[in-house]
Amino acid sequence: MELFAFDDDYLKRLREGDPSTEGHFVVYFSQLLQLKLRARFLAPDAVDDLRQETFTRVIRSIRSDGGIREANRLGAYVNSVCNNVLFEHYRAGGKNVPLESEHFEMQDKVINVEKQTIAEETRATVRKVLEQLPERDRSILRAIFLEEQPKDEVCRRFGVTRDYLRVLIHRAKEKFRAFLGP
Amino acid sequence: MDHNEALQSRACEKYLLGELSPALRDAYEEHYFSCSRCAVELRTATEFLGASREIFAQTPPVAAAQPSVRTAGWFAWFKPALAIPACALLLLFIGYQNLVTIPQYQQAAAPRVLPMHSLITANTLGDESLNFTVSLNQPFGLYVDVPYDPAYSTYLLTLLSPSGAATPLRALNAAEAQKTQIITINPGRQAGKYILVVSGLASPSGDPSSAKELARLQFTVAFTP
Repeated sequence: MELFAFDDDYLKRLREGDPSTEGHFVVYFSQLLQLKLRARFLAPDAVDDLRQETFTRVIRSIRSDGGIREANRLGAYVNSVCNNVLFEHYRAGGKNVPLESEHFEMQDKVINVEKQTIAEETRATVRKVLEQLPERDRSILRAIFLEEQPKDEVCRRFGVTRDYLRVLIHRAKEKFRAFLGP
Repeated sequence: MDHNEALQSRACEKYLLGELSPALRDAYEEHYFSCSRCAVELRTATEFLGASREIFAQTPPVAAAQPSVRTAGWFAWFKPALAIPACALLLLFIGYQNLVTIPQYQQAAAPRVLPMHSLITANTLGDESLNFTVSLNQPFGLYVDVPYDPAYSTYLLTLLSPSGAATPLRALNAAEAQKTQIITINPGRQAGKYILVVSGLASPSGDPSSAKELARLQFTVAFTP
């Protein structure tokens, strides 16, 4: 996964409708938007709809006369458009849907990390990383991300702290990244 | 939220665990949409956890025990005349183990669950220090990532206490230095700023006083009231 910096040339190509640039743009922001929308625990079809609506509005704005012209603001702009789309979604919902996300307290629920397709190579690499983890750590990850058990209960059962969970994810992610290489 | 704050607060991990308040969640999202490094980190973590979930779903948990298979041959030998005295002897033995032997071992080697903290992000903080609240006179564990450098074969960990006293903790070899290590600290009654100094030696038999300082990881200890 490469680091990518958006420049004026990129924005110009996007404005002109260059297919490969548009393809890259959608791929780059798709996963980020999906994570952001899943963090609100929306239904999968709502996630897809809102993601699509965000892309439509951003592309339309980029191609309009008064649209965004600073390439380094592109990411922030996509996020901001998604926020507006979310706000409208909440407003359009029924009485039980809150208007503002700030009305929620911290949900303390793990984000849905399920992917539609996982490359076999990725799966093999992840398997290698998991094999290197102690059995207890594997069981902790299983309990949280597959069985979706409450984190406090998992901590009690395995005798670890919340900070241990964060460090576990951090270390596993770094090992995975090391396997993937530069 | 800027990049250092995102790293320091372990925002990526907390985000995936659903542990950020709505305001911090929004701030982190605003950051990762603009910061390609954080976007890559988040994508990597998500990819790993998503694939792990799939692998776990296809693999039964280790704790599931398989029932043992009985064979007629084995049980053909299990006659009451032999079984009853054998069971009595077994019960006596078990009783002795449970009432005498095991409590002695438990006393000597009771496992402890150490409160754990992490110095993994300490290197990104510059002059700032991580703050840990711990119990008086109780040890705690620290996750430490040593700045590995192929030029060094041995890494010395020394703890500087608030009073300035230097205590050698451990020496790591090159293989150990490439993995996150756990070190145990007992602050006693000394709250305040501690520094974990990491030094490198080119050779295992080198003079420790000539070790090159590689990192100073600062943390502040306060005690629970």
